[in-house]
Amino acid sequence: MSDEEAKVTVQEAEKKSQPVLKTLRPENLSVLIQKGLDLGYKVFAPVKDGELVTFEQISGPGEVFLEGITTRMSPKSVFFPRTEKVFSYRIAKEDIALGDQKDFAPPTIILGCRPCDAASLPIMDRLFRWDYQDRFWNERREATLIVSISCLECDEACFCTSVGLAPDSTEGSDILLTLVSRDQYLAEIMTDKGADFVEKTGLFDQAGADLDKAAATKAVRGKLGQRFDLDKIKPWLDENYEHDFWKEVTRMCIGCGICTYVCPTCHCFDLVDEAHYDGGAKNKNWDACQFAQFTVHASGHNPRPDQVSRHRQRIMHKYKYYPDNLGATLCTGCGRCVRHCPMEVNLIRILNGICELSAGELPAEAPESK
Amino acid sequence: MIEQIREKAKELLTSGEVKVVIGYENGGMPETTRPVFITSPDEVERLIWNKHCYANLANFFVRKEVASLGKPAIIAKGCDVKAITVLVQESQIKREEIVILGVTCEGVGEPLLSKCPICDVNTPRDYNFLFGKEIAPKNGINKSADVEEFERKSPEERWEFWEEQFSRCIKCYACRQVCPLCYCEVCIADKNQPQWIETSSHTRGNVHWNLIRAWHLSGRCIDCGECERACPVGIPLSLLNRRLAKSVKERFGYEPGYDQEKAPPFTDFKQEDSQEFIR
Amino acid sequence: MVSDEMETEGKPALSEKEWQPKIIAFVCNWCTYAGADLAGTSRIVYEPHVRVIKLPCTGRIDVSFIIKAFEQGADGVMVSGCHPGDCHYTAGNYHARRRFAGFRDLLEFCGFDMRRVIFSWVSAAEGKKWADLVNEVVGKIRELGPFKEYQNLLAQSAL
Repeated sequence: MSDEEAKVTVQEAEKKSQPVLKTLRPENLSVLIQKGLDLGYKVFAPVKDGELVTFEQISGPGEVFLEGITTRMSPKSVFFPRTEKVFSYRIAKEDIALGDQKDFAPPTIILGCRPCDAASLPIMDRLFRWDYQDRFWNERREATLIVSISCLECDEACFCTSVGLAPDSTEGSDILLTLVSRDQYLAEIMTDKGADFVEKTGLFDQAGADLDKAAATKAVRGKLGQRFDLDKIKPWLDENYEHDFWKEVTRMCIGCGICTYVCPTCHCFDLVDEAHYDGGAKNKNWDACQFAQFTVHASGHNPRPDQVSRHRQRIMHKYKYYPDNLGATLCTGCGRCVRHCPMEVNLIRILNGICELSAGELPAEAPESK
Repeated sequence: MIEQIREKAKELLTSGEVKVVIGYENGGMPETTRPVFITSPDEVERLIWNKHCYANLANFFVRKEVASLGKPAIIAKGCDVKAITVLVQESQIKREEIVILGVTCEGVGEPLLSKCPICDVNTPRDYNFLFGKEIAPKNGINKSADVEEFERKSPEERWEFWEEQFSRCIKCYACRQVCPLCYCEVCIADKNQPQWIETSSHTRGNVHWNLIRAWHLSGRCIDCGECERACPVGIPLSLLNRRLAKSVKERFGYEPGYDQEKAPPFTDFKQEDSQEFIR
Repeated sequence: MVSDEMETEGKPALSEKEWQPKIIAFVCNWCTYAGADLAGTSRIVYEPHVRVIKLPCTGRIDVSFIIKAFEQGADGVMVSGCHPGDCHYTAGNYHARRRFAGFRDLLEFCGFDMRRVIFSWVSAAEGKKWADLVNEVVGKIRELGPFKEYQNLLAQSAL
């Protein structure tokens, strides 16, 4: 086993071999949130502000808004804020004083996360625990407990079932709650971290054997169906870096960063210096492959000179390069990019187009690279 | 109406008068449309027209992926045509090198977008071909009612409001990309020698970006509202734009997008311009 | 040297007690700078808390300069140039006047304290006017205190 593989599986090892099943009464969810706050956790949960539902730090259970499908922004920013001071410095008379970041990973709970968002975290762990160990991401990940809630609803943009997940996937969750009946959440406790918390709160009951998660999410699974065939995507991408298809499907892309910034798995960043006459900071800011300046070299040359190549990059990265390099699809089907694109570029449409092309161009027996 | 548009599109493409028709197609998701670029007369059936044709397609003239297709015809609402007028005025396109398929419009969105009730160009002011029944412009509409209402707040309340709004900005630059008049090849926000606008998305950097974005459109913004529609975190950008529109109208008697012969306010001056604020 | 305790950024170097107004003045080369020079050669004593930045013309002053000054910790910004009709480049100040009028409206709309942004015309002969104006502005800013609202923008967390 190589070093990389060893690191990737650290998370797996924390996982319990068999989830422990318990139940939680819905009215106790507020109590659970209050318990978390009382135990000294920072709690992030969906909060509604006008039309906008986003993850925010809350100070009481009353602020939490659990309806709706996904939040506007994904909870990745709890681990990877859109701008973060890596370190700062101040020029004193004859010296330079460095200020290191500390206490950036307090005990935290993310509550009310959807399974697609939870699933994004172990996918990104592969990157942040790869050649460079990103301490901001990793330490926060270790300090954070993920309590997700299975989806009983979806919209036309959701496609988790098409990328190997489901509205009740447990990937990435420490505890997954599924509303199996009007007065019962089934709690699947996936990790020791989750089990510790469950014990501390004392709000969970022993689950009977009759609880059926699959029955509860059957309707939404049916509605989700299969939007495209994932198995056909990568083999086509492997062969078709150059193809007129890219031009046709991306011409309406205007090159904003919405799809990447709302995405729970996009993780590109830029390091910038913000200097003043007597000091400054090194900041780590979100960046997006869709921006024209993203790949400009110091010489002025831009290897991705047009929006076609930039948009192709996003799809290639998610469905080819990341699987090639780190062994997972960099997409959890949350559908945010589809929902919020001002020009309706629509990833599902593009992937469907690839499936159609693939049916026409590839031999019936798909290549073994998968 | 769409039948006539398709027919005209087919005619223009068949005769070779234009190489591409920029219009809208079904967006796939409910209540959405997507910009579409029709290059063959056989494809005109894809074109649609409805209440959800939001995008200001004038955005695409300056994009090389579209410009490379050849002479365009464009489906344009009254507000979109105002953007075209400014683009012509600013020498970004030549009027004779495009064909405007104007559509009369009673407003888009359900409920209507905020620009629609204060629209006075339901019938576009410039077009080569017009589709739909002409709608007389409304008289006596107050285009800055929301601005005036907001101005009743105290400075502290206004500061607090915008601080909160700008703190949400994620610097995705969708407001810039979606704007038909943000066509600079390299935006000031992307210049880093020197770095005028901090790329960090802390509130201080966000304030600078949002002020400059609004400011660079002062006297130019035609209130198509695309920035506000695109903003993924719901910042009311049109409110800023309308404040500046009011300022330009009151101070310099100018409204962009109506008359391409009139000098834009910031390329011009009058000796008697107001200077009540100068010591 | 590494100091973990030290919060190294975004705070004024001096404690509140020792605070003095920090004012940036963007002035044109031909009139106001010469006016300020005259104030000096005439030995007029005035408040030292203004840092003068000389530019060819008020027409060269981009509105970003003003924001940048606040970003870097200014408590007030002055912009000054030639009287209308006196511009060395004929019309730079007329263009600038339009620009500042519009931008001022935007700042005001966003809740900026407009007592912190001062525009003036000061000619090469008006050394006294410059000195009086600086004294007045410094006095006013001292009354208002540090521009905390702006300096606090950085401290706001961004998620």
